[in-house]
Amino acid sequence: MNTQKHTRSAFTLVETITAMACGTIVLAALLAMSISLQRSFAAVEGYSIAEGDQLRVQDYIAMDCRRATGGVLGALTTPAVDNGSWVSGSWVHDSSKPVTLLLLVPNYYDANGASQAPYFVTGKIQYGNAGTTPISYYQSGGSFMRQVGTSSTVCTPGQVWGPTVALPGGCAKAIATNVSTFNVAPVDQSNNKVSCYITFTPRFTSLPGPGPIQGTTVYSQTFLRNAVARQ
Amino acid sequence: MVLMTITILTLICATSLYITSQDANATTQTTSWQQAMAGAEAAVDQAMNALNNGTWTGWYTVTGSSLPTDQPSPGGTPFPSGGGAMPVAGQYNYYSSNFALQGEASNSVKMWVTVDNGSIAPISSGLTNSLNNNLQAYRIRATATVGAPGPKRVSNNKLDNDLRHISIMFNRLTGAATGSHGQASRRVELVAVPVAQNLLGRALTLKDGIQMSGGAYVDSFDSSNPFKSTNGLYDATKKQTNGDIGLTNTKNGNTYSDLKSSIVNGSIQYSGPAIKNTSGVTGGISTPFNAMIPATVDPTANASSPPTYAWTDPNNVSGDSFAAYQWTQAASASALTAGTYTSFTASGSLPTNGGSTVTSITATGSSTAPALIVVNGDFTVSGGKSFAVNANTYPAGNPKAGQSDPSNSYVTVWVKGKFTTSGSGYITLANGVHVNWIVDGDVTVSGGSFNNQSGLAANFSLIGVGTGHTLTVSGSGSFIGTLNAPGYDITISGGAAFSGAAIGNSINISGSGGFHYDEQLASASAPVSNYTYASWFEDNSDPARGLYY
Repeated sequence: MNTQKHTRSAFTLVETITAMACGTIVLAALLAMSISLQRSFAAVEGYSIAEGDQLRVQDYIAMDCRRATGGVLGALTTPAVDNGSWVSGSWVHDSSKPVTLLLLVPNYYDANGASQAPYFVTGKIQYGNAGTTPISYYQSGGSFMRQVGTSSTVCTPGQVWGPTVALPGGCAKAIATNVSTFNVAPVDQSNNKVSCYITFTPRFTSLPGPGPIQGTTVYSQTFLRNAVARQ
Repeated sequence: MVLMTITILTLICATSLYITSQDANATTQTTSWQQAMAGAEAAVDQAMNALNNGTWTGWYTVTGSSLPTDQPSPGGTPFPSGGGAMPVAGQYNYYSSNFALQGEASNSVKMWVTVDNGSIAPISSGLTNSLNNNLQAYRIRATATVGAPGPKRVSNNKLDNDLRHISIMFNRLTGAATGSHGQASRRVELVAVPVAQNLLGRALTLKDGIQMSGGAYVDSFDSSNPFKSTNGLYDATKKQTNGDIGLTNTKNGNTYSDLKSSIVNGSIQYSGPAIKNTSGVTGGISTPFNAMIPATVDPTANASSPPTYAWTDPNNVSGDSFAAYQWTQAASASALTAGTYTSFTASGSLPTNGGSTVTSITATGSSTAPALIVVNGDFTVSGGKSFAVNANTYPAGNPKAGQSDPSNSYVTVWVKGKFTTSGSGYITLANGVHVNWIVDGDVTVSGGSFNNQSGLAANFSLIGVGTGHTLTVSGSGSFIGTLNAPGYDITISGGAAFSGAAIGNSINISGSGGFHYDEQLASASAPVSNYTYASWFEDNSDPARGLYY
């Protein structure tokens, strides 16, 4: 006589519901954690990119202001700040155009890109043909542009600024994005310095809209080393 | 489901770590790029220090036909302490330095610098400034390379690569292999121009500022050159452009230097805040200007009775070959000879001697032993009065007996109070006399009241002693001489023309007569006191990518 009682092991309904509830909670927690992680990463990444853009813009402006020389651009005495644009190789004032920082740097390089020799012309140091190359900074939409030469044509991907034999007029390239405003204080001729204010819109916002801050403004002030020395 | 969730989370983490790693790399490269500029500027400082001190300790002189693009490896040993010399044609001086940094970012800085006179490639015109007595300028080219730890890969942002040109495998400037890590290199090129030590090597040497207005202008002429003057006098049709100005500080109290676009036919070197409205300056404007301007002093008496006097002309502005003098008392005013002195008194009038008014004196000394007149009190030449300084004459028996003897017509006049000419009062300095006129108080003269008949600024030096005084030249006529008054605030107004040079605390030129620097006061062989930079350019090109500006 078989007295062994066959039993079947199984979760009871209560156990199953409890297990499913626990699993759902764990997965929900994981999901919430992954979303938070993603958001946190996106915020850090946005911050990193913004920092990079801000540093890059400031470094570019500082470098070009330091090596800019004093010069004349139409009715302007450079370094200058004006609203306008380059038209057919000439600077044209137009109040409807964006504010632009205009610099002239000496023609340190020859047509082949080799450095040229300095020499005196009426007591001033000049390079090459004593000419200059214009460099312009301005905002275009959300991009912050650096233009070398007199052509506002946007550089094609991978194209360098020039001016070169192949690209005599140079081109313009965005060196930062997410820029909301660009202001340059009038060039302080007395103290020979250029002050720039550039505001970047936040890259990461947790909610639609501007987020907790309206933007980040970076400020730079550069002494016109070369212009002062060579006036 | 669990496996899928874990897989997704793992991918997210891996991606995050990868991007974070790239950000860290970009940050490290940016730090190295900034550090490289500090290194390049330090190398420039090394060069400026060597130029200014004339000592090239630790430097090499290399003979070559062009400036090196990669760090040279000269043979031999560097110059010992105090050794070395300025590079001449076909040479460049070279210096390098390395040091380690501690930290997680850039961990080494290597800088090197060359100094040449512009005679090697890229060939120039020799870097001599024809507007500054052809003094030699020097090109300084400094490069610094900083290691960029981290993976040898470019920044995740291509825009960074356009700016910073981090060298991954080969250095962008030198072409040399980078080694185990990337590198950031930056190069700057300057031209250092000399500043003459001779304080009369320029039109104006000032301590605390300059103001110009009302048609004032500065230019130059050369009284010793008939092509640059007429009969030794300034001629506007022959004017030159060496009316240089040097300021050790451009701010006088709360007042900034302001040229108000006045014409300065020359260059300006200055320290301090930038000078305002310099559009009228035809030459270069450079900074800094470091010059030691010695204070002027009175003759000093010893304890003997009667005392003897000794005096050293701190700036030797009179052009004399000998600048230290000693005097013993003369038996009488009429017995005044070389190396002797006599004393007069004055109280807001012409000097008197024993109650008699003195209207003339004779310069009876030599360049190494001038005579000395001591005037105790305020010396005033009022309207209708005059005072003459006559030249000595050759003695009887000399073939030129009775004629002026310029080589024995030196005198120093020491006014212990104020000195004033007013109205039509004037002083005549006879042709051939050489006068040092020392004043302890304020000086007020009209341009025409000093009739320097020789027409040579080198023959008359007005020396102001002390600080906080004023020196005013006004009216019309020409003042021909030098002003050596580093403690005085100088004013030149009216139509008075000034020919010579001036050293002062500050100057305000408001007249239209012009300030004409006499280049004869300077010497082309004057020693150089220091160098200042006249251009600054960072070479941020990347020739391999065809990227220049």
